[in-house]
Amino acid sequence: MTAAVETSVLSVRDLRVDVAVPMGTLHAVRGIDLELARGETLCLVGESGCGKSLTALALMDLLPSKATRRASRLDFVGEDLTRASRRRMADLRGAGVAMIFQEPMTSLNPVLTIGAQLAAPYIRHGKGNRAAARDRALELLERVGVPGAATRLNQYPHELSGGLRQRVMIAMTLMCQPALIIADEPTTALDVTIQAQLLKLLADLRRDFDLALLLITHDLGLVARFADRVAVMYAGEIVEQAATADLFTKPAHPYTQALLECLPTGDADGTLGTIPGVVPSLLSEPSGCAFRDRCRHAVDGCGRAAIPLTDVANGDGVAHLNRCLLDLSP
Amino acid sequence: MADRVIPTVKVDAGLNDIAGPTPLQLFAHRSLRNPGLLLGTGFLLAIAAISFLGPLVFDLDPYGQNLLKRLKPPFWMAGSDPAHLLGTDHLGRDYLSRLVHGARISLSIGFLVAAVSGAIGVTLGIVAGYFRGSIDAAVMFFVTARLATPIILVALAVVAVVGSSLQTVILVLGLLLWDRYALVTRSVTLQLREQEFVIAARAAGFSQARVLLFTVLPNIANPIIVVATLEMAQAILLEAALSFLGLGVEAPLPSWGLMVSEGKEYLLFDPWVIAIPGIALLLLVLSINLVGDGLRDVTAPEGRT
Amino acid sequence: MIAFLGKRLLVAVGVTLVITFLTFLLLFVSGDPATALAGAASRAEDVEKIRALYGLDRPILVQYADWLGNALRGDLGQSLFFQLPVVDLLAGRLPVTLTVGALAMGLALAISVPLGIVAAVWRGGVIDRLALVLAVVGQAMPTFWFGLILIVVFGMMVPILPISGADDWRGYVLPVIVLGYYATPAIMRLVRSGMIDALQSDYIRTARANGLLGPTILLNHALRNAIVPLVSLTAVQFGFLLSGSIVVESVFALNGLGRLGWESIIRSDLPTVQAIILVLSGIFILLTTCADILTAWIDPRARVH
Repeated sequence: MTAAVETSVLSVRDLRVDVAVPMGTLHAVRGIDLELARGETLCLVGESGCGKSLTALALMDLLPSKATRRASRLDFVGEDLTRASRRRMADLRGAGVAMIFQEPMTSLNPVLTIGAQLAAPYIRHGKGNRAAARDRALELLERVGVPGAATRLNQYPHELSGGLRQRVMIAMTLMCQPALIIADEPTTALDVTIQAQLLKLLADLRRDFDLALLLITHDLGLVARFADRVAVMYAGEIVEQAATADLFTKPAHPYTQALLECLPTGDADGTLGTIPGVVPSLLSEPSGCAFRDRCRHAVDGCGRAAIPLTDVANGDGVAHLNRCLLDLSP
Repeated sequence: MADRVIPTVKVDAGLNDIAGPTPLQLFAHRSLRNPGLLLGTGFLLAIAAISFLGPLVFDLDPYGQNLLKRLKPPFWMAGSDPAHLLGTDHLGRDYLSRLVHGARISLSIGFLVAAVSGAIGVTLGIVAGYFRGSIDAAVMFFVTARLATPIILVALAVVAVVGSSLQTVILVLGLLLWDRYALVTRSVTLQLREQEFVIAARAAGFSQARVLLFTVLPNIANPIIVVATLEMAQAILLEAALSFLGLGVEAPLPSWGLMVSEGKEYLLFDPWVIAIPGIALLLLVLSINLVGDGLRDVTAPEGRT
Repeated sequence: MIAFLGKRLLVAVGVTLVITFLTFLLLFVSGDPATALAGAASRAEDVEKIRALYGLDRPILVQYADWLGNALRGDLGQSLFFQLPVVDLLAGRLPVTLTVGALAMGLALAISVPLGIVAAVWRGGVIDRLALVLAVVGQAMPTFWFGLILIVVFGMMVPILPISGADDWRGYVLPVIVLGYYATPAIMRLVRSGMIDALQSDYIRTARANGLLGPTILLNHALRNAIVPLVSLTAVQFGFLLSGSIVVESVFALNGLGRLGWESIIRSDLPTVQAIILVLSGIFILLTTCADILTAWIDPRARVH
């Protein structure tokens, strides 16, 4: 993947997010590495509370005031964002990197028209005047499959269904042709049939606009299948990362394996798996593997020291990173 | 293709082994961390204690006139009389005694008006919210009519007709201040009637009255108590205003509003005559409002400030 | 929209009828206008003559219908005290009350909106705390007492403003301050809580994710949402303010509607009292109806209902 170096959109090393809570400091994200190139989709999967949304907000510099971000490297299209000013970050948001949120019902401003909201980032980032913004909005609404786009521009969010609103949100992120789109649970709040349509749309747009797409979800089933690569997060760190097909056929980490067992397979006798136990508290950093209390393979060594991500691929190109002491490959 | 989401696992940031506090503990904990509530409650209790116990302990005579000792200033000013700590009014009556008795009047009016208007407003609100439809429309119509009524003018007119007395003022204000009770009760009832335990009670075949009294009412107590404090404060201020305008309680009752009214002829040379009852009024209403705001924060912390 | 307006209009007319009928009823039982007209020393047969002359011996519903019919033609009767058409009397007094009310409302908005925004943006900061103190004290302050205190200050200590009457603009300053402060706390609290809600909302997060800058987010995106409920509160407060003008006008001896109402009550000038209640509730209904329309205009969601 030598080409990836030249087209690298996002390169993150050791991203950490600490959240101040009444009982102390929550180490919510504990050293995440990400690489994302143009035209590539990376899916970040994990259950609620694993730190995936905070990771997204940290990349956007939109963390709540009680959360702080650290990273040894945070490069966006060759620019070092660890040194970027707040103003520079605001200039990048919406223009270089845009974000789609989970709640289409509340993420649009109820008192502004769709057209005004679509135009806002375009005008803010100096892409053109109001008329140009309107043309661009119209073009993109048609592109994302909003029927009757011209009339929609003058409508308010409450006049649109959830699926349509999310299409509007997608169009909004495209207004300034960003290099990276972060989609945080973009389809969770929607019907299953609409989920598939929207994921298909995102995949098409990624291709047409040559975007890098960071897809964040708790849905290892449908959503993750739309990605080139999948990274599985648990308790604030990535425990396994591989090409999508690889991850589904050869899951290496016991947590990933357990997650896949939780998916219905369609077998007649298939009992649905569950994972016993609870996620550890992140008020103090867990020593060793964070999953070991819930892991049926755990041995004494699991709790002794931090376990690094190691490549378990058999040399066929894309790395398959795994954070486990044991070789549990099926 | 039946894709399943990952089973969600409860994350409880280190609280797993701590048993949850009971509602009462939670109430106590939140109350103790609410300085406004503590201050208001303390002050309100102090006023209540002084006004109801004071006359039992000390010899306080709010009515005895002494025309030889008119407008004696309070203790911090030159020429004060040690027998009259807060001085005397234009008829030589002891100001401290009048102030203490005035607190009783204000507190009684506050409580009774809040009770009368509460009975009216809660009944209307609960019926409107529970039955909805045309009953709701009718109640809302009356709320609109009540809000459009210029309250001081109408109260003055009624008192003028019936004659000024404590009972009249309480009744008139009670009949006028039910709107907020009705609105709050209605909106809470509207939310409540859709909740499972109310639906369950209805499905179990209990009578409407029983469901309203024993299932709905106990669950709307908190917001009603908060409204009650606000209406208490409102009633005390209105009584003072009516008495100030000469159509509230009848003289020589030591209503604080009446004391300000009687003192206003002397305000340019003896401003303390109006300052003392005014400050008392301000502090009493302030502490009631602090209690109300505090209770709302404590019982509904997610609510608006 | 037409249906919405029609319904609002229907309610407005209904409310006006209910209020005027109730006040008519109240004043009807309040005593004998014929005796008042004839004078206390008049003979019984003279009183009867007057009763017949003014139609006071007819059933109350007939008299009310009569009054209503005249009112619709712009005739609110004769003032028993001034022997003038009530309409002329009101026309002379209403501008004073409206001027004070409008200026006070303007003052209240000018203070409370910026203060509420700042308090919400820097929540828990120094200005937020100061605003809270201002609001809490303002809600507990008896308006008549605050007026008297200003009279003491500006009549004695720094005599730069007239303390009674309104011969020129300076006469309006103190009444406007008193009434403006009365209306400030509720508006300030609503702006603050509305802004806090808006600033925590998902759509503000969207705006920030689009790189929009602080002032744009605050004014175009957050405030637009926060002022939606402000419109109707302002209308309601303005109505309360006009009905509260009775106190302030009597404290500062302003010849407005409120003072006229108070004097008319004392003089048993029933047609005048009746007309003032009609005018004040009419203004309130007009204001709230306008507010509903304005709300529908700025909040697209309200247009559906």
